[in-house]
Amino acid sequence: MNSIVTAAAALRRGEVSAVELCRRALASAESLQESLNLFVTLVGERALEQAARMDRELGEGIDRGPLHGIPIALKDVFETKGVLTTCGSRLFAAHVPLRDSAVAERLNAAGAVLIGKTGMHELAYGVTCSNPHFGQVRNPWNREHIPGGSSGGSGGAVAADVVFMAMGSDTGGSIRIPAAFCGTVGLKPTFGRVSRYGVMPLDFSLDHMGPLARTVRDAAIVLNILAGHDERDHTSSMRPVEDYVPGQEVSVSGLRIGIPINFYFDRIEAGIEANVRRVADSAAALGAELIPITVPDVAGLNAVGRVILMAEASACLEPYLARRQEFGADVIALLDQGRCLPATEYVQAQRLRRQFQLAFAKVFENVDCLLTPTTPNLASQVGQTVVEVAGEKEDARLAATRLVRGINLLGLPALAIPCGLMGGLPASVQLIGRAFEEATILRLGAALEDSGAVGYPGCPV
Amino acid sequence: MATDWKMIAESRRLEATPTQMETYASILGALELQMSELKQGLAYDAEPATFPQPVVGGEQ
Repeated sequence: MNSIVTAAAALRRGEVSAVELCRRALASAESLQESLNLFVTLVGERALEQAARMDRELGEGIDRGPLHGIPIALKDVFETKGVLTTCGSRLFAAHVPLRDSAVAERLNAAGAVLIGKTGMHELAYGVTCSNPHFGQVRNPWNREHIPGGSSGGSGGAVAADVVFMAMGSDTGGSIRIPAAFCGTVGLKPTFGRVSRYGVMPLDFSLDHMGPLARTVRDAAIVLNILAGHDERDHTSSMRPVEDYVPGQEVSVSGLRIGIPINFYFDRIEAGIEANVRRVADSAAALGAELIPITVPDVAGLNAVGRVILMAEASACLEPYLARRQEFGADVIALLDQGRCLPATEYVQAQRLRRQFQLAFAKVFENVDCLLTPTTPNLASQVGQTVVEVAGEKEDARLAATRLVRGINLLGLPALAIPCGLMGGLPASVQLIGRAFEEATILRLGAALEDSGAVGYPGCPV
Repeated sequence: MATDWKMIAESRRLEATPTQMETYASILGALELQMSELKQGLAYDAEPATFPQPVVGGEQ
């Protein structure tokens, strides 16, 4: 019973109750807290009350759908009415919101049982989850390694089988990196597909919300619940939603998968490349067409992304910048750098962003999706600031974000899926789709999962 | 001409230490180099940027 699909079926067969699932989740979270520090807040009493309510409803024939009675967690960036929401920051160490985020609202209405708020990199501005205020979040595969970030607690809580799903936010890879480092599925939907209302922002144009789960279908189930217009978020899309959950029998016959011949396979660990190419071969064996393609200058796109993120994050957090001592050293350094950037540089970066969007749109005229590694390296060690990737030294943050950051500028959907273990740590493949075509990458992901080519490797915690 | 990032950092009165200023100057200088190459592709025209949010897929 390691997926939402199997747990939901067991609940309806009466083999387990929502209260039992909730107790198990809480016990697991508590037992791992000292060693992994996955949660900032656990809401045991409230969760058990909600689970009991879900059991009563099922008994009365009220069924809210696949998340009914399923224990979940939210990254501590999602506002939850009456529940501490810190954003991993000392600034908000006592922030108890008066409202629910749109994501919390929708999950609650779908019957999901929130057991707690997960640990994260301070203000979602980093990938290590070395949080000076709430402690280091650790990777359940090896506690000497980082879980990735910024949604590291969510990745760890799903990988360690604490909850079936945990929500993350992704500004430059913060869903996909912890998914990759912890061996879970991570879905960053198209910009505008999931409401940002009530999510504490890092940035105005790069923040995306999405699930980390143990299977592709579970991630799709969550997207079904979260997708849709929300007038409280002015960037929320009016486009109609569709059923994102792949059926039992999925076909990828004729699907055109672009395999980049530049950038994405440059300077990555050999084992990761071998695993990702094996996945591509599996897709071909399932009937997909592999098309070698040249992608636009992603290193340039990443540079543009750093300019936009630094400028926007510093603007976003400007009301708090006078409280300098309340920021961690790495975060205040990034905010300082953002304040140094001239307005002209920011405007030019936005113009370049537009050019990159048009250039990538041309790429997607010839392919239905791209298949790439998610990260060029495995999870680095706690405290490691420089990593060696394929024989070259690189800033650990830049390495982790190298293959994921650019997609946030384009607003495209992307799915990270585990594709093997190397030395006891997970490797991950990334599928990138056209805007609002989450269903395509979820279908391919499910087909690969069904074939055994990819999938949650089962963390031994 | 390369920007004097250290001077800019000082002008922002960031309360950063001299060592931090040096680090900022080094990081921003490298980023400026990358950007200056990319900006050569920007013409003098009226094509706007799309911000603050990207309009993906041609519509919202």
